[in-house]
Amino acid sequence: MADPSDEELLRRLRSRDRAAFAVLLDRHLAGVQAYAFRMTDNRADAEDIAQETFLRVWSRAKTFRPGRVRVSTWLYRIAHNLCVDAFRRRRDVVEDGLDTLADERFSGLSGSIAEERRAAVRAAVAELPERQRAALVLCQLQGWSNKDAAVVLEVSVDALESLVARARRTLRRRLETFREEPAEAGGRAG
Amino acid sequence: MTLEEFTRHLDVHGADLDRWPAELRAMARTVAGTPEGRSTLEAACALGALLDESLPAPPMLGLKARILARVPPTVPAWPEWLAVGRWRRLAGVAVAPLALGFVLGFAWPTEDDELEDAVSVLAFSSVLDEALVEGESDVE
Repeated sequence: MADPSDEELLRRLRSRDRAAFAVLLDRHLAGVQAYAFRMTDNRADAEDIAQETFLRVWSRAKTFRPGRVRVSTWLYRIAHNLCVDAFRRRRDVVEDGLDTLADERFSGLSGSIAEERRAAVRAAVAELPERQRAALVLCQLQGWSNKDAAVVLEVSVDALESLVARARRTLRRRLETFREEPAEAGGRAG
Repeated sequence: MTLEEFTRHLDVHGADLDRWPAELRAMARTVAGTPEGRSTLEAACALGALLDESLPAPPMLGLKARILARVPPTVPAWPEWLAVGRWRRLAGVAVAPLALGFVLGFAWPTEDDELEDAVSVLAFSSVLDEALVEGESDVE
């Protein structure tokens, strides 16, 4: 039997079907949590946001209107709004958060150059205006198309492309020195 | 496509040329084949790799279980035709005219009230007569 679509799972959620909810979590929790983490740069906030996103999906499944947006788009829109709320709440302490998390995140690295490079990238991303950051995270790191990312952020495709282009230009300028020693991941040219 | 246009498209669509709009890919690969184009593409790839490396997806560490623990257990699903909402509507439709009839029935006394009293007296008069007769015979 084919796997149920996200829309079918949402329909089952309306009758409080936990099994359907578990399948939805399997499909989207990791992505939503990663998005929240990349937006807030804080693991605890990311977990809270991911949890709240899915609890809202559970409690508001009846408000979802199939055909208007995809379930995944709806999910990420909820997560994005929660990210913006969290970001605004802790705007004044973002830099402290970055310092605290750096030790946790880079624990697997051995070289100080790699640590410095990652910290600089994260700081540069954290300093982007939130809409540019969201556009960059969705398109570059989450693999969304420009069109779908525009739906999540509720902007036109042109506006989304402008946001993501400005974000890439800013990062390219700020990270000029590190690009001479590219990360080991290599290129993705097709 | 000029190098400048290629650079602008790299900012918009990223370094993975396979994800570019189909109508741009062939021209992009042509530019990417030039030394300047290759250098520009490599710089875009390096930026993408830096971002991927620096912002990895975090581990979930039991998050799914914690979320599931916050939602109530599944209750047996009612068939659609037994849905509460539907019965509530049906009950409303059935009760409303009954209540209306009840109110109207008490609000307006009928003109036949006196007639009903007379009928009642007549209906029970024989019983009363028999009781009186039996009472008189007992006295005797």
